[in-house]
Amino acid sequence: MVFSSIQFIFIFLPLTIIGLLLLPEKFRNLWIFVASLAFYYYGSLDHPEYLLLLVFSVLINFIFGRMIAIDRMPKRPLLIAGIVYNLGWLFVFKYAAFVFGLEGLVLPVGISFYTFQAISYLIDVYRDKGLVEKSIFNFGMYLTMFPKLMVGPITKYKDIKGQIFHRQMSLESIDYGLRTFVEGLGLKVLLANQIGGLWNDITAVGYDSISTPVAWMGIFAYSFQLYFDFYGYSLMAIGLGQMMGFKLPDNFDHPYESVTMTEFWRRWHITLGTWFKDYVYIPLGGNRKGEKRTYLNLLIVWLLTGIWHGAGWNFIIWGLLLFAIIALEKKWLKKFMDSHKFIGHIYMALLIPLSWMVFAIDDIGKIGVYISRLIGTSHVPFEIVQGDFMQYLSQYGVLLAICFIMCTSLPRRIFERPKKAPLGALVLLVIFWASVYCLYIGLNDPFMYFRF
Amino acid sequence: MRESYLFKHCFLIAIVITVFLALVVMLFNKGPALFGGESEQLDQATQEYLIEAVELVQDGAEDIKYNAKFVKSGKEYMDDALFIGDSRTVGLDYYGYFDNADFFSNVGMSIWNLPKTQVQVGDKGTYYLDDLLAKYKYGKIYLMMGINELGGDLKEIEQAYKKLVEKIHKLNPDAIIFISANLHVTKAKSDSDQRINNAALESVNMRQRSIADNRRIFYINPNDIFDDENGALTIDLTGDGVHPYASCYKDWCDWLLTKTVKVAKK
Repeated sequence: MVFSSIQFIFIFLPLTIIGLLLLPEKFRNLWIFVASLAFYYYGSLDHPEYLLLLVFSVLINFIFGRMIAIDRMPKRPLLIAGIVYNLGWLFVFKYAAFVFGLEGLVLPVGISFYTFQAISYLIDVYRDKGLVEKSIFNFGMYLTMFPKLMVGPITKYKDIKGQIFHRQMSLESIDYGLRTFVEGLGLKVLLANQIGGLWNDITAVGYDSISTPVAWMGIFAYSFQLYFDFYGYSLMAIGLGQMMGFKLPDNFDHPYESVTMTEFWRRWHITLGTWFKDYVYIPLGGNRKGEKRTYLNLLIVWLLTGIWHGAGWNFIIWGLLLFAIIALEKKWLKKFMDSHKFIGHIYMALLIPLSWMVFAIDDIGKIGVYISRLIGTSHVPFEIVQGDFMQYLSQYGVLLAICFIMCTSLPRRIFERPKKAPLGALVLLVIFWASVYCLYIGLNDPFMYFRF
Repeated sequence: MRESYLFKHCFLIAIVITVFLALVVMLFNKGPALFGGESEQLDQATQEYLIEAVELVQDGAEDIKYNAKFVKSGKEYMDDALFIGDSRTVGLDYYGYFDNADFFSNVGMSIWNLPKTQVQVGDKGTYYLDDLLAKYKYGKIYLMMGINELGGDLKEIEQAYKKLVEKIHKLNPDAIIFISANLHVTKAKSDSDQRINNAALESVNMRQRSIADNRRIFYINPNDIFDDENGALTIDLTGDGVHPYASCYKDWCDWLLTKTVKVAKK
């Protein structure tokens, strides 16, 4: 089940919230745990065994956490065993097919995310045994909490621990959280889903048959789609958290306004970046062990970031590409860009879509074809194709302009104040029903984005 | 005090009220089944398709009846041709080389929305199909639709096609009508989609084939050029599993020119 679905919005969410309001406080964590398991079950109906995998993850990590916290236990071997258990499943489902060339298994929903949060728990308890969770229900709630179960934000256990016991849930928090949720819903349904049509079209037409302007338009559109999809989903998660009294961490901070790739990755998928920083980069020594080690550590982190996003050569190349750019920036470019912001923006306006192109195209040969279209070196044998730019511009031009504006921090600054006021409520009400309408149309015609 | 309380919760209140209103409206309209149920229906529809496809394949002896005598022609054959169809025909228009033909096609075209759809036809202007055929007389009319109809009742689809063909024949009595099979989708797409799959497409194709009479109405099957050994769209020829790459449409045009017929005028 995804947040942007009729079932979630009109059945699951109201039931969960009403249940929470009716139950006394001490049962609320258990209720969220049960609701999250139900949420997961409906989200992976084709593979009910994946629910079992999740439940096992809760059990095993809970037990490992308890054992690590016992003084006379060998902490380090236990920690390593726990991490191996978690990464083992991730490897089986995500990478075994790639490494051994086996028939691909269907990836359990959210496994990349809950695995990382489980590891975070074990490491946090290893570092400070006082953090250990004594109740399996509370721990289960932390690990499976439905707002962040599917695609994050990836929370660190030490950041959420306090909220497990003390949080304020009220009609006011529900109202405010709902507003945040609708902001995210609008970004996902009204922007990401709509602009997504352009990349779909280009994929269907074939990269070898598009004109150079359309090739550029395509990777910009894809960049917008990716951002609003993920940012929208993260906002929905944060809003759902707010409704229940949680403060989940921000995942995006207008990343497309960055002037360097280094800055971009501090503002894009923030919770993944800090996870790698806290649990990989700094334990490896960070930048405190000399220049060579610093670059080696960076290389490790970016390679891991690449393959975390998917198993495939393009993700490895993508990770290496990011490492190369960030290393170059560390050595020379960053200082220049930081003091010449205008050039920095142009630099990023090229790099962001180009790096997403490598991310999007999972066939190395086709990346080559796409690049040849971007620079216009290959010959397009169809004269008619020359008209495709005007056609796509008339179809997507306005939407691209809206996406561009929505990427800046301007809308957020304008809407900050009215968000809590009746005016904001009115705007969000329109966004809500427009989104629901789009979802509803898509329901009767599941192929709205895929009509033939 | 009371006012500020209302203000603080005004969004929640607005959502609850409008959701309630929407529910009332839906109940009064006996709106479509919103929640669930749909996938089961799809399952059943797919089942029927599968059974039908198996029966039709076993019925292969009939094939002989549909083996018309096709000849090869040059591009000028399409001078007086009209292509009617969905996105795949749009592709033929954009990326094929029949710039001498007319196209009445758009994305999402189906037998159901065709009568209600206005299309810009080359430089002739924007027309409903009826008006276009009343005004212009074509020598050949190609029809390729069916994928957007999947999930619906096969008999109804067949009946609607028959009616469409009859109407075309009435408005353009001298036109040769080519009913083209719907292109298959890739095996991966077919295996993963309850509605859009090759068994379903083949069922529609067979129904459409039965309309052909090999005198004025002919059935042609472009899957011959794009299928792999599984009888599915070849994976290397498509980016989305459904539409052939733009670069394939030239081959499609070449192939169409090998599947032409010459009919003596009355």
